[in-house]
Amino acid sequence: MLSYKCDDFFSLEAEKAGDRVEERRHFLVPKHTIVPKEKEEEILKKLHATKDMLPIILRSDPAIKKLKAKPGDIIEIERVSPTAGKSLYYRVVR
Amino acid sequence: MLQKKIGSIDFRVLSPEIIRKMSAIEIKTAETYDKDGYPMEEGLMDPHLGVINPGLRCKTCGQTMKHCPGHFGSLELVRPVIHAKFSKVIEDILTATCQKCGRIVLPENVLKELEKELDKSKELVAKKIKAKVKKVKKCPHCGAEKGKIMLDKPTNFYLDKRRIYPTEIREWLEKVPNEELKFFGLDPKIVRPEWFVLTVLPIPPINIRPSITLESGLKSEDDLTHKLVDIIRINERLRENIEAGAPQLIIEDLWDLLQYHVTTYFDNQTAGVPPAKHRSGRPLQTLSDRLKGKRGRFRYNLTGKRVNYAARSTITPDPYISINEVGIPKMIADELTVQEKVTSWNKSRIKELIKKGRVVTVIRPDGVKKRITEDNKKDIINEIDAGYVVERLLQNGDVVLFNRQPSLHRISMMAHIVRIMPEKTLKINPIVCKPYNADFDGDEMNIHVPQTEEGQAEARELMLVEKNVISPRYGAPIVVLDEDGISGAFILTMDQTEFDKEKAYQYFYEMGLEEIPKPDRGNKYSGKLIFSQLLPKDLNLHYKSKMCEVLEKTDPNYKCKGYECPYCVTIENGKLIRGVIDENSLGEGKGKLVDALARNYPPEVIRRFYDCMSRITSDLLTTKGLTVGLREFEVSDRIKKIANEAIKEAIKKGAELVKKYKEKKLQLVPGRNLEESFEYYMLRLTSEIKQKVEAHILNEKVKTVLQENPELNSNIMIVSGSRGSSANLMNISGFWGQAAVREGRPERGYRNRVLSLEKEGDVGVKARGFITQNFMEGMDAEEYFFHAIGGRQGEVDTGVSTKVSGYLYRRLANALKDLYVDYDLTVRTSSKDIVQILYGDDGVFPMKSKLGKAVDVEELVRKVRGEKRNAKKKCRK
Repeated sequence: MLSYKCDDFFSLEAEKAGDRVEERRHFLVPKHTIVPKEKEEEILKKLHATKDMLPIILRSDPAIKKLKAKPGDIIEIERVSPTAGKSLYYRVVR
Repeated sequence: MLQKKIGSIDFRVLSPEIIRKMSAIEIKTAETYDKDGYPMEEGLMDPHLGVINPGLRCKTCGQTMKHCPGHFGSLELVRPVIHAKFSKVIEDILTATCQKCGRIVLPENVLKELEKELDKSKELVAKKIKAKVKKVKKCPHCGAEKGKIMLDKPTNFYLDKRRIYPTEIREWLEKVPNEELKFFGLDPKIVRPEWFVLTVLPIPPINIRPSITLESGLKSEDDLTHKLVDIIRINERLRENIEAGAPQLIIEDLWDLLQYHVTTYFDNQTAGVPPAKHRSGRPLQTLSDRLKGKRGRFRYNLTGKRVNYAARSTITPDPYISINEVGIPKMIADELTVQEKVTSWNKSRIKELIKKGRVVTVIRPDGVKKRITEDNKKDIINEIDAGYVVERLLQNGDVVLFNRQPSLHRISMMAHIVRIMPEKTLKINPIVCKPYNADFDGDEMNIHVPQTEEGQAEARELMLVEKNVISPRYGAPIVVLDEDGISGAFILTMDQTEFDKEKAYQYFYEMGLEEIPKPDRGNKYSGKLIFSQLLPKDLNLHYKSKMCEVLEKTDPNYKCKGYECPYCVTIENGKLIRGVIDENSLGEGKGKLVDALARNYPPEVIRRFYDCMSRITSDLLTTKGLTVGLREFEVSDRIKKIANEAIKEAIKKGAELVKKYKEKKLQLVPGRNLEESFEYYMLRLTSEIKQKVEAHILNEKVKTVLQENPELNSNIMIVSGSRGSSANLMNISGFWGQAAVREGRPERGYRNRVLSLEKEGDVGVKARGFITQNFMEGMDAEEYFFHAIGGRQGEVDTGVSTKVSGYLYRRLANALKDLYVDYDLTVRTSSKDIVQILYGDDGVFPMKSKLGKAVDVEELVRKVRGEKRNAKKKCRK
């Protein structure tokens, strides 16, 4: 499931780019992306929820610092799951 | 339904103004009742404070007891006192402000600087102010000297070692300007610091401190009333003394006394204050005691509720009732009721019940309840019709919920079918002990009777024991035969076991068999054939048995022959062809047979299997007899020799290791230093040697089970996996091995040695708790002591771990209790906020899963291919 080598911890490109450690992509930090505005409604409909019913993520969260997300944006988190393979999770930026 | 959301809640401090405003009456006398027993006007029992006698009307609001909420009164304190719960805040304000002008003793620019930081962290600013103020000697605003404030907990304040009294403190706090309150975390719109010094005390309504009339006619007052009487009495005495111009010393004494009473009125467990006591010496229960802790208002009354339609009694086993049933004492069944709607279909039956006196009340369609008595019985039988509802007593076939605390998982509460029985205990089939974690050493369990049809249907469809055999926790059987059940199944299915017709017919009868099979061993029935009658005709299974595993472990010459293995289970078309039924067939979490029965067949199949097995095994064990005796723990001289040699080897090799260790020539284990490596080697040495001997002993004992006519004793239990293991056997017949303390060898005690009889610095095998004797022969004093060290630690550990895990569980359960899986498979809170997008990330219901996996692919492939056996030639583990 989770097998890794030491080199996998951070991507090398990020190191070359001189990013600080917290900004590099660590293999245990799942992929965070901002959901485009036009797709938001579709997702909310799928979840039978409004924005204030979704779990939150802080604007200052290290995982989305680089995304420059604004409050109200929906963040899609793509996680590796031992049971489901890949699982999607959604959070609203606050 | 109209829904409203609470935006926010403010907690405020009552101002003297508000206290006076909400006061229905000012209390002026400490007396409660007059000579005739009527409440005194302006006393603590004044009728303006609310009514507690039914029929009377409240003098304030004019309502009756049911509707009057009670009203506060007030007491004017002659001298102000400090509210002990606020003394810390008062101390902070006094140390930071100037007594003359009331402002914070920091220059204007510093304050402006701090004000900006206020948004970030209020706590940080408060800390900074505290640190900065320490050095200030003079007020930068008015130039007055700044003294040092000392708080003698809980309520005494000193300014440069001079006692300052609440009056002075109150004046000081009044001077603090509104604009600067924010530095102390106070909002001037809500609270003023001088309110922390009480000048007027709210008197709670009598509803919350009702007096009790004892049988003797004497009135007994609530603890709160007693405390309030004390306060008022001292208040009066202080007033009289001041008016009479008493010496300052006496007044101060009384003032302190008033302070004491007010402090204990709020919290009788204030640190540094002796608790106020009742005449009997019992500490008074005052305001904070009422709210605090496990038995306080929050945890006892608000979080915990009591219910009706419930019963509780000791449980006892009865293997002859179904796993779905619960034996309910007649006494309980004659008390509990269920609601049943009268329809045209059940009308006559219910009339019959009324005639028999099994109906307690009748509810008319308009909702009026009527109790049935001998007198009105006949009228009611005539009156009753469809649309009526009756509350009838519990009867056979009703469904009840059955629960044992602590309710740690969902199967701690399951539905059972009522079976009314004599005696006074609740009876359960011992098979359901596992999920409830119950035993019969005095355990008590609870029943709840679902009242509505919806509740009953839900209980029957979802909560019945037969529908909860697979644990939702790990997707494997949890309702299982244990201990004697497995031993019994093992004995039943051993190759050697056969029964004459008489016994076999008895078992067939208990199974409810309609067609009796022909005997397969001449005139006799083999146990395997009898067992096969319980299996569905289309069942095909093959897997490794526990017995085969044990043999592989102990006998180097033994090799499992796969499909032909005489000990591994082979079931073809519902017939047990080869193998013995043991832990790997029936055990918790790994029982392959029960897993297959519960998963692939309707629940009645597993229920019938268990019901019959519990009858047959308990009968088998009582007729054949499964016993334990000392003799079976005796070992042959060969084993004794092996054990003695192993011990000698351990001591010799241990000495070599010690030598290497002392010369520092020991090869280090990665990540450990010399000492740690040495300990690691020593532990490994002793455990390896123990394991070797253990295998020999087990091998010898297993052989006895394979005999023509095996003794039914502890060896059966070990081989079948029902109870005990080779480790227990080793401890009794071999030797104990290393006594462990905190996963290492014992090392504390005397200087450089554990026991005084050892040489100092001896780290050898024997000196650090290697026990060479066993329970049969007994240990010598030294070894016994080492054994006791380990034993004690084990005892302490179980105590600690239950306590710690119980608390952790409580926290988790409270945090998660209202979460539910919605129809769209999202996990939500009660207000429909999403917690998880897809339940468990994969949406799999663990109860229907195979060991956590959604689909058992191997099984599926097998079925599609139409293979009866596993494709691989080996036994499946």
